[in-house]
Amino acid sequence: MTTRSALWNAAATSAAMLLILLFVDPAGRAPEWARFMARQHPAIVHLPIGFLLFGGLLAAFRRWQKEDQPGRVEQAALVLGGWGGVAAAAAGSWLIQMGGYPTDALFWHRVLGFVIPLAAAGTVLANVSAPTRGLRGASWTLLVGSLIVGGHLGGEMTHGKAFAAEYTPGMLKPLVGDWPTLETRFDLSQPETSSVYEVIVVPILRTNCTSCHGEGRTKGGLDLATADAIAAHETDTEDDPLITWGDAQSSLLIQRIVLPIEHPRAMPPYPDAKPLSHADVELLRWWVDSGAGFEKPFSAVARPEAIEHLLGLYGLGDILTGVFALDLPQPDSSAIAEIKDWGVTISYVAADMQLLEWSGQDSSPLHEMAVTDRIKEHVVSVDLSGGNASDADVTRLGDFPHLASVDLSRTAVTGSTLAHLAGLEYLTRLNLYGTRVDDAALEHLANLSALESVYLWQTNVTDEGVARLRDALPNAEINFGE
Amino acid sequence: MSIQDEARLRWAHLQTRRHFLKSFSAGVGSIALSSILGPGPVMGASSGTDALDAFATGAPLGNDPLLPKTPHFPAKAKHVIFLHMAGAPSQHELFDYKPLLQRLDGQQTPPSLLEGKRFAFIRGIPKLLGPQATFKQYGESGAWVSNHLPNFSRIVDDVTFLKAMHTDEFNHAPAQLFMYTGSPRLGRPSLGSWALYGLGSENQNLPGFVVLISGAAAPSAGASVYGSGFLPTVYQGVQCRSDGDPVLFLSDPDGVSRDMRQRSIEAINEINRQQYEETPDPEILTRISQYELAFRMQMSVPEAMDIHTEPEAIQTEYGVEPGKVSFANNCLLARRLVERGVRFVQLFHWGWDSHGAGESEALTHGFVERCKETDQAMTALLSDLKRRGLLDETLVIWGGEFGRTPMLENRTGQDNPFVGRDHQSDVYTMWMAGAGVKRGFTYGETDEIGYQPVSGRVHVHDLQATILHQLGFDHERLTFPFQGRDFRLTDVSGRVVNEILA
Repeated sequence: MTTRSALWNAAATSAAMLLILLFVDPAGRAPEWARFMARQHPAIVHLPIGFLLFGGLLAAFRRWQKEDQPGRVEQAALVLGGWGGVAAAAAGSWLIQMGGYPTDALFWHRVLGFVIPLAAAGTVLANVSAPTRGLRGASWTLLVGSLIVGGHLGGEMTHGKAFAAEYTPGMLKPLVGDWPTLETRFDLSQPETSSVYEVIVVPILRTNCTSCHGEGRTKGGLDLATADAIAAHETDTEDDPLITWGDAQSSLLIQRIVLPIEHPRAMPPYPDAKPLSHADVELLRWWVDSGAGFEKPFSAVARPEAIEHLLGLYGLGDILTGVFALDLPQPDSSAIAEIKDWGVTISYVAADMQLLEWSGQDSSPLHEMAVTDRIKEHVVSVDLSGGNASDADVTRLGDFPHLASVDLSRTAVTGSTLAHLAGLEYLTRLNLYGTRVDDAALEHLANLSALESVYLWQTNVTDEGVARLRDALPNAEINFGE
Repeated sequence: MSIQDEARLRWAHLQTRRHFLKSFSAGVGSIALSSILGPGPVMGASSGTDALDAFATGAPLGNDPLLPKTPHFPAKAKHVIFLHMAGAPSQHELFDYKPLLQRLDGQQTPPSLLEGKRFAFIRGIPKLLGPQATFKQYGESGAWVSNHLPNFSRIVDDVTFLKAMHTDEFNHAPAQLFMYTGSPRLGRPSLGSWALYGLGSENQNLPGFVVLISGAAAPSAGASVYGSGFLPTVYQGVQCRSDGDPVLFLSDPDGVSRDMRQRSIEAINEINRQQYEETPDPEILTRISQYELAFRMQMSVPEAMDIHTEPEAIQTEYGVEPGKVSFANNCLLARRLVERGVRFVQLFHWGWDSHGAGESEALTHGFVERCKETDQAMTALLSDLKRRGLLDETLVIWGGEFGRTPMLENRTGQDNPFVGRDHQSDVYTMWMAGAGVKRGFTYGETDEIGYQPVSGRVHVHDLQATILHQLGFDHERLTFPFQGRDFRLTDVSGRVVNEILA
């Protein structure tokens, strides 16, 4: 093959690709006549892959034989493969118009689908005219690399993410890495601050709806891209509102996605797009039924068993909150052993959690700073009840930043040092029954807004003191033993 | 058998079979040892296992199987108090109020309700029996409670009612076994044993699983309802008494001083420890720890069990009867034990089998007596736990092994001055309180005569799964290998009733 004909081939390939790029708008609707061809994309696409890899093998064999000139068969394979790629790209572009494929993988698959025919034509040219071996090698690398990655993305879209790597033999696993699990779809790492809308609804709308309703296009006048747009949407008079909080049945958003797929008003439109999964429909329905709106944090919305179950299928069954969500390194086991030797019971809150509970009647080990400081981040509960705890111990407890529960009941504590607990952001439970705390001591608790329960039976506090504390901590239950 | 005799016997054992096994299988023992000390079925490969720590640091053998252990996830309940009303109290006279049943009183049961049903005693077509009590709504939750529980009605906002409990068994012994072991047949470990096996005990001077029995008789299923089944026997329930010796045979025998007792136990345990090193049978650990526990208990149990040291006001609140065996005494004991770190306290109060065949079984007599015996004490128990902050971490459960029919049972078919009801396994009421259970909540609903469930059914296995869940366990993962398979309390079913969890 001459340089001249290789140039012609490259020019024709480029022109064909340009035509496809210009006339097949990925967001448009595939013409009837092209639809048959579109569906043959998965069949067509394998032919050029075969030709191109065959050419690659010939080239590799030739390099091994120290032969510099490409053979006719190698060039023919490249040309045939390149034009096969053009056909595959055309069919693929129409298939994109018919919808139903995930957009993130699709973007790169499409880009590589365009790169491959051009790289094939480029390699034909480089084979006959490139001045250096390096340029030819680069051309081959681009071609084969694009084939592998593009082909893999295509396979992923058809068979699902883990298809190729699922049965990787154990020792090779580190090479392919951990493929993303379903968990990554909904990020529930901060259930107390992220809203249901943000962590559940947005990901669902983004994969199913916003390519037509949002992101620059608002088909049917509907924009689901932002909370404001959803809230502001007004439906036609004969339709129910887009969302009726507390009543999914009467919400147009839910009505449309649960229609039978053959129904002309079903969304997303079949067969151009896939219907929502059962799990997605149920999650959206839960969002509307619960009346969570756009602000309510995930952890504040009650989850019926069916929803827990669905989230469990996504690997999100046990949602940790508060101090249990802390991610700490393993505590120092030698420090734990030493503290245990002093008669303190140290136990783990749960397997696979690096949080500790401390209980013992003798409080003196708390003050062995050199040792206890090594685990103070890990201790979430201290129980000194019925022991020799004093006000100095309360002061020391202020150094344990993650305490959620402190039990000082039946001790000589007077509460004068309770102010030292002010920095404990997780402190939800404080047991002071049977101590000498009085109204003055209660003043120190007023700022501990995380407190959920305080026990004050058999102390020196008065009704007025308790009433003041109840005003300061309206969400806490103050048990006075009345 | 004297201590010397026992020592001689042990020595003889060592010289024969043990000796042979030892020389024959140097390696086998270490394999078995690693299987015992290795990641157990409870722990998986956790970082915090005492056994693993000890193994790694070369600590001496004989780790106490009762040391605190780590649950699967953070536990809401550190203790459980199960108030079992043995004989199965009638829900129709306590909580499940049905005005229609009152109106239909004395009418024949329609045959459609009897088709395909089996009763323990009822034959032919029984009459419906209206509630033998008056009902009112109480608390902010508006729970219906009968006039038989005037004290309890004040604290309904602290409990969750399970109105549609159901079980597989309709006779007492199998149903009690089913409730506590998950199987109606003998041989499985009880709920308390599973809890102790999973979590260990917080107080090494008291048994971790205590059983307190009141009423005229013990539960009909016998000691198996608090037995350890195939779990090591160290996990079985220890029956204590509120009068006389709290634990039988615990005191030193005549002529044996505490000091001598201590030296004897040390010698015996030394021999046992040697034996364990050669044949690591977990039952040897049980033996060692029970000798030691018994010795420590000589000091701690009389203190814990002495309810008379409680302030007068508390005794009055519970309705304690000094010098007697009573439910009230046991309730106060239960609180004292939980306060001292006992993991599981099981109460049985006998006498709820209200068939109406005699006065003691009549809904209008014996049943009312049972209510009087329990109402004040169980109310005091809940209030007392609550103000001490113990209800946060103590799960209290009340109920029987099944419920009773809305129909009158008339076994003889003759005129009977007493009314009663037959056993009913399809639907009955239980309540739970504390440790992360919703407050002032009712789950489950029955039909208009309280005969069939309408919604919110909870099976006994579901209840067990929920109790284990509150103790920090996935009931499907708390297992013990026995006879070639992993056993669990809920066998192959059970669902955590998330609906009742706060």
